[in-house]
Amino acid sequence: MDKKKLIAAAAAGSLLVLCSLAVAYFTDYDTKNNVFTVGNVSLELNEEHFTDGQLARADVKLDKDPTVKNTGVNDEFVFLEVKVPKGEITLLGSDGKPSAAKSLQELFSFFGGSGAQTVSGSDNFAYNSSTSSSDGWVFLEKTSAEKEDTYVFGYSSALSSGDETISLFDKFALRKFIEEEIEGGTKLKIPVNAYGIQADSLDGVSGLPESGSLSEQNLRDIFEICRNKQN
Amino acid sequence: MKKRKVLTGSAVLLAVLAAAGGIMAYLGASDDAENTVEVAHDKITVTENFPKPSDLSSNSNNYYTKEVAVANTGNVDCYVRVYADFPDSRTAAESYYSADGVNYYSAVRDAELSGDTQTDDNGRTLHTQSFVNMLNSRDGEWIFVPDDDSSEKLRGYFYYKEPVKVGESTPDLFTNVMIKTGEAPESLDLVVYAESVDCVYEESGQAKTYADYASAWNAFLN
Repeated sequence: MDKKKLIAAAAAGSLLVLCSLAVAYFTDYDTKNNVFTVGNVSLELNEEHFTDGQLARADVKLDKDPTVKNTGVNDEFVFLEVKVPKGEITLLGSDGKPSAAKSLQELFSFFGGSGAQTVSGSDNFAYNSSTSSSDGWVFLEKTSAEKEDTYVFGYSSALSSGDETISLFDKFALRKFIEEEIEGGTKLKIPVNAYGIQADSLDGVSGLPESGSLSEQNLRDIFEICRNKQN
Repeated sequence: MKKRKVLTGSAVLLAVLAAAGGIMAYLGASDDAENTVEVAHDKITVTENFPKPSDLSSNSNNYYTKEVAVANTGNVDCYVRVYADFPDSRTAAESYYSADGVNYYSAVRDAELSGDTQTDDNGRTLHTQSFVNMLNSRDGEWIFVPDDDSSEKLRGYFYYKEPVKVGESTPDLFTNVMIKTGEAPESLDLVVYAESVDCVYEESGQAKTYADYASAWNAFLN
């Protein structure tokens, strides 16, 4: 073998090594059978008790319980994004009298189960948060636009294949405001988006724990990757 | 020849790198749900068949078709009530309502009026009994809450006792009106006005249904 052939063979060999290293990032295998399975990340957004198109009356709580299920092979970090429509309304108190001047407000309230936590600075968005002893949702950010506010939550730990999160919240209700400020019969959307990303080998995020709960900063960093991936 | 080999090698190298690059992107997935809800509202329309009336003739019984009903044009079942009256009490004393085009009852809202009758030349029967008294004695779908009723807030209105379903309408409250005139009849008004209330209310975050029209209206008017 002359020198050139030797160099070419060495280069090909290193490429193959690089390639199999890269493949090892995202694959699973069973040594006994020598099967080499390509890994995947997929998820399912479920809202078991939500009925599309139902009527919303002021303060009447309706079921809405978004959860995320890992339907892929790999462990995942998952996130939920909820868009809450807004309108120019005059909010009413429990006595039916205006509690504030007419202004741009979110049109719905959200309610979690017992122990639900309210988003900081909000009086209408409660969610099922993580605790020191159980997994749950971590509030990450709220962004405001003219027609809607967008809330983002991350799940406190990686989701194994086949596992499902707890619900982000359990119920929602139209807020109480002066009748016809939002015309009766108006159809309002509350879009929910779920995102997932592989939990293993996330090189772009530093300080990830080996197992257990993620910090709020971990989740923010991971969601940033998710967001960039979507854009 | 040697050059071609180098080119082939580069192509393989690029293909391998491209494949590796594809794999190196993080694996992700997403799912979404639109989730539409509709703002509930009770909305009604007074539906009248009221052909343009001819001028009142003097010293006559003037008969007009005026079919008064209420349609539910909203998206929730609702209870309805109707206010119908002649603003001028002198006109009311000489006016009659009919629910069948044959029997005409006094428009005076006095439950104590007796039941005398007289038949006019066209076979129509005029009852001195008040229309509201007749209505209440029938215990039908419409009921009138008199001005001296104990339910103070409900007084003075005709109530349809059953919920009016979405897209449906009440039967006519009355179908005809007769106005007796003297020597020099003047133009007059008959006011018809309707209101509605949702059959469902909120209690501790739950949707509850009112037991009947009276509880719905009492709660609404409180």
